[in-house]
Amino acid sequence: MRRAIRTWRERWSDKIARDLEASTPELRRVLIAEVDALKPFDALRAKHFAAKTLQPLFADWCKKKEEELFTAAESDLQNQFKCTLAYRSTKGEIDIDLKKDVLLNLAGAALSGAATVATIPAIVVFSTASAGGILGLLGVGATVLVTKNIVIGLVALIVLAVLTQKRFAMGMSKTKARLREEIEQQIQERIVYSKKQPSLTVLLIERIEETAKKLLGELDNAA
Amino acid sequence: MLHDLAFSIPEKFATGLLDGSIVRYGTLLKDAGSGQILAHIQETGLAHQLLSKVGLHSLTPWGAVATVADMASSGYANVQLHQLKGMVEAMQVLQYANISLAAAGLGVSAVGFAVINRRLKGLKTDIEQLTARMEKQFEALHETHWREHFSRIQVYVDRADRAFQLAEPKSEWLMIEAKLNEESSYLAHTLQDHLDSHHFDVEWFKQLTSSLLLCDSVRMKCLVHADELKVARSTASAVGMGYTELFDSISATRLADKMTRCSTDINQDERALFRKHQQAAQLISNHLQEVTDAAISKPLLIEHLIDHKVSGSRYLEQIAAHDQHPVILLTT
Repeated sequence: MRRAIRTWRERWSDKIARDLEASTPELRRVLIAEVDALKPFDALRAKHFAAKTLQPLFADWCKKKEEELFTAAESDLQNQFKCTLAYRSTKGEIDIDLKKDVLLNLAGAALSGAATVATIPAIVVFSTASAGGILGLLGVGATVLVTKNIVIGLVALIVLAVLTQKRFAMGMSKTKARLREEIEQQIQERIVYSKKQPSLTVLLIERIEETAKKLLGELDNAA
Repeated sequence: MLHDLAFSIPEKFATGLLDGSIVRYGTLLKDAGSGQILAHIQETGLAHQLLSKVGLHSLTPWGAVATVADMASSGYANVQLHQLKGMVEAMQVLQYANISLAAAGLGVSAVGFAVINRRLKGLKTDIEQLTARMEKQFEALHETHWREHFSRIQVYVDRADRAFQLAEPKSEWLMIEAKLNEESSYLAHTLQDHLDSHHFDVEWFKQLTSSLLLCDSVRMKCLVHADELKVARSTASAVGMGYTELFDSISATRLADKMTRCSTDINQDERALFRKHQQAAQLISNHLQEVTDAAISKPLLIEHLIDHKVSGSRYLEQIAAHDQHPVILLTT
């Protein structure tokens, strides 16, 4: 039984890491498609666009992946338990005073409950807009000194935007490029790995490991 | 002594292990269908001699995974090479990934106390150097007085070796076992603290784990030498449970994460570094699982000796002197 739990833990830790990394192109494609379809109005409010359009897509994808992987892991764990318990029953080898149902229920309940990715939307912050903002769109670099008067009035900025359409197009292109870069960085950091905060891969594997630890603990208590 | 017990060599079970009709769990070979124990795996004195010759760190679970090709290129004499190849093949038949386990926990240790003490001395020096390097990060180590503990362990192992010269060595071995039990507990707690902390140093962890395994190995030898096989069986069970508690919960992912965070390598991409550490952490976890499985199955070997009314001290003498095969199987 102990070996079955450990094998399950190893298999799913490995599978989660591989699966998530292999699935990132799909997420990238979806997010980049939104960026490609970016409208000028949205480009002016890139931070809002990231929060309202990109972030929900990102969070939904994470949630879907969590459900998909945990459902499969849970089913695999229950099958492992059924096989092991059936084998031990036929051999009259159940030497631990543990009802079958306890482990099977534990296996079922272990991965359900509070969703791990519930924490993901809160931590995913696309920060692109702050890198350049409206002035960035207009071709004004962050390093350029801007007088207070220019910054103050949104109307003045819109007028300036109309007058500098060429620069605006360049700004759009830069915003899109920055968003694409940001998406790539977010995928790598939030899905694969980052020292700054736990990635989805690490969070999901930790849940698998915690589950295995609880089950092994139950075996010890029952022994 | 071994003549009173039925023993065999791994090759006898090769076909069954290959087709899955026989499975290995720790140091047990079991019939996959009936679950019946077919044999207990036991290291011999030859295993240690061979690993020492090839320069692998025997008596620890961290030795390199040696291959026949490595040995062929090592320029050993034909007889040695032949024996080494035989050992690698035997371990492969038994489906062990790490041949160092052949002298670090398969059955009751076949190595003498003096050799164990030499290894402990080496470990102490290694840990001293590592601790000096880590002192800034691990200031708590100052407070744990690990040097004093190590010195005490070495004194006890030395006394265990000299006990052979006593007229009544039994009480001495029992006293040493009790003392080493305290030291083993200290090492296990230090390891647990290290696993629970935010920092992680692989080498330091490996050396301390090796020390724990050696300490417990000496405890078992003391009890078997004293012919207290029933106590040895219950001690082996307690050691197995202790390893389970300590090593089973090791999370390779968390370990890899900690290793990446502690890494001072700023040139490498952190994701690449994490992947590299994941592999290393997985290897550590696998080695420790082998060690744990071997420890869990040890009480059954001792039970086998009790059932066959085998004298513990004679058994140890025989396996230490066995020079035909590095690993033998006590068949049931």
